[in-house]
Amino acid sequence: MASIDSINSGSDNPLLQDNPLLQDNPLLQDNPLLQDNPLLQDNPLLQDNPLLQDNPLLQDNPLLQDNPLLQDNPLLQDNPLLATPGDAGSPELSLFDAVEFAENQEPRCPCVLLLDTSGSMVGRPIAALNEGLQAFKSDIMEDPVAPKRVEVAVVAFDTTVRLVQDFVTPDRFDPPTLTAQGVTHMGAAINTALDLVQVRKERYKEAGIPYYRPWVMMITDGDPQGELFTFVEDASRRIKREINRDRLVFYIVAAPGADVTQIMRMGFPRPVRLDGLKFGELFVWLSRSMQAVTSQTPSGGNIPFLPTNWAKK
Amino acid sequence: MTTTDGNQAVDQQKSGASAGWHGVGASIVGTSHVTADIVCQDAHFWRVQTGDVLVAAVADGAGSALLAEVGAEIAAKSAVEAFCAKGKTSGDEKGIRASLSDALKEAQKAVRNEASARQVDVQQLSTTLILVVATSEMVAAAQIGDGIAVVRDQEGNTVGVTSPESGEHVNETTFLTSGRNLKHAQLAVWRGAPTHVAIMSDGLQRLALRMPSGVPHAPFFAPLFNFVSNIPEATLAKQQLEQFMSSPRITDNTTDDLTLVLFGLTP
Repeated sequence: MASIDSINSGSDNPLLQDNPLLQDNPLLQDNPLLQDNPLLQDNPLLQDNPLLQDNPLLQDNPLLQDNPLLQDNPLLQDNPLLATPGDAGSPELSLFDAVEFAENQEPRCPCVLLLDTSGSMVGRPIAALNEGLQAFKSDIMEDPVAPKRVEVAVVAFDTTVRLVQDFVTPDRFDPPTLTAQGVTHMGAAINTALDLVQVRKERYKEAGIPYYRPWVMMITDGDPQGELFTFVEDASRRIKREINRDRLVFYIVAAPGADVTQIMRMGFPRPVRLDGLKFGELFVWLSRSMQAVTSQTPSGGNIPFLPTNWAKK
Repeated sequence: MTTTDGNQAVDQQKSGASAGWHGVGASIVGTSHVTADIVCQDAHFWRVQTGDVLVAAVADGAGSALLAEVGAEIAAKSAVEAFCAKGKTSGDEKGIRASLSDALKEAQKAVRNEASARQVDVQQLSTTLILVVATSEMVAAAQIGDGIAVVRDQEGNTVGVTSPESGEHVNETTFLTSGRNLKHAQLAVWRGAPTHVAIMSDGLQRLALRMPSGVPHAPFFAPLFNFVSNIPEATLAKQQLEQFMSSPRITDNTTDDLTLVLFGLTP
């Protein structure tokens, strides 16, 4: 197995790229040392290592992309470290949908808040974000129809991706108090959000509930870090496809510190920069946008929502 | 709580992804009964026979009857056992209806015998009864009293095989032992390709039926059927269903006993 040192030894290392030893080596495939080794699983070197995170060798290396070893390797498939967390379709939750859909057959607008809670958000940023969530709830509850039509879900991402709140109407939304830690697993987070939206749409369809184009709003103060590049690539490809087919409204809000250039280099849509920590203004804008969307019929067309007082000029 | 899940061994085999009918059911004591310290008077029971024939029953013991829970349990179990012993699931509609009717008679007889053995008036064991028999090609049901049997087909249509039958006033219904000849029973055969079946007592009717027509409310059933198609291990599924039925979102709607039994057919 390639050590971290050899990965770092230069982009033109033929040893890594054309080495049959790496490709057909049974030692790499059936080696229990590789499979049950706690060193591989709980090793901070593997988790927070910038060498692994910003290394072009890892990102554009055909060896990594077309390598069957990487595709059928149980080590890679059952490894909790590598898993995309988030249980997007819990059957238990679907039971409560029975009451929800029986009592409320209003069309729904699913809205996923995809929130970066990585270590750099510690302190004032995370506090402002939490206040923003409160502002969202109180503002949207003022509207006559949005509380019955919007369904909000919250996904927090740092070193893990957590479904903090599955889809609920605003009246049942109890804004969480998020804490910040770890690195930015943005690709896994986006994939989780898209999975959630997909499953939710299935639930609407089964129940005969019409729905508006789903919204996903991601707020980050970083850029993708600490995860396999394939996750990021997959996320960016899925986002593009959904947007091109008019199946998703997707915003990236770049809080101070976010690497906008890097995010765009990954193939994501252009982020809108947040002016300072104006999370309150941002979430009131989101609430008003949701109100505008849900005041129409689901087929009411595509209103452009331009960032307002929260965006950096 | 009188919860009588049919032969657990068969039930376990049929849960999850294996082919055939699999189910999950719960009977929950209503909040008004908890307050008054009355036991759950609903019961349910089912068997899956070889050849993937589902035979299931739900019974709702009369709130005012002293031994309603006994009547409900005996009625549900005897009807299922009687149908499993002799019932027909193929052939013409008339034959199937006759089998259903015979099973009801056996259940009625069992309840009467129990009343005699206990030396009480049979009215003290008053109960409603819904008996459902399902294969991959048809769902047949017999019903006395309220509650409903619902089927979803491969096209996603959700229809009632029976309909809630109640008297002019809320809280009035007919019972298995109300008359000797069972002329008041609904007997119905639905032909098609079922994917799911639900049987419920009247406690959930307000959420489950569109009023005033009394037809099944698809938005209510879709998530439940989705649940039974994706249920985890059988015991856990039952716990989740019980938690759901005991949750405020349900009990805010009704104070009655509740029974809900859900089945999915894995091809």
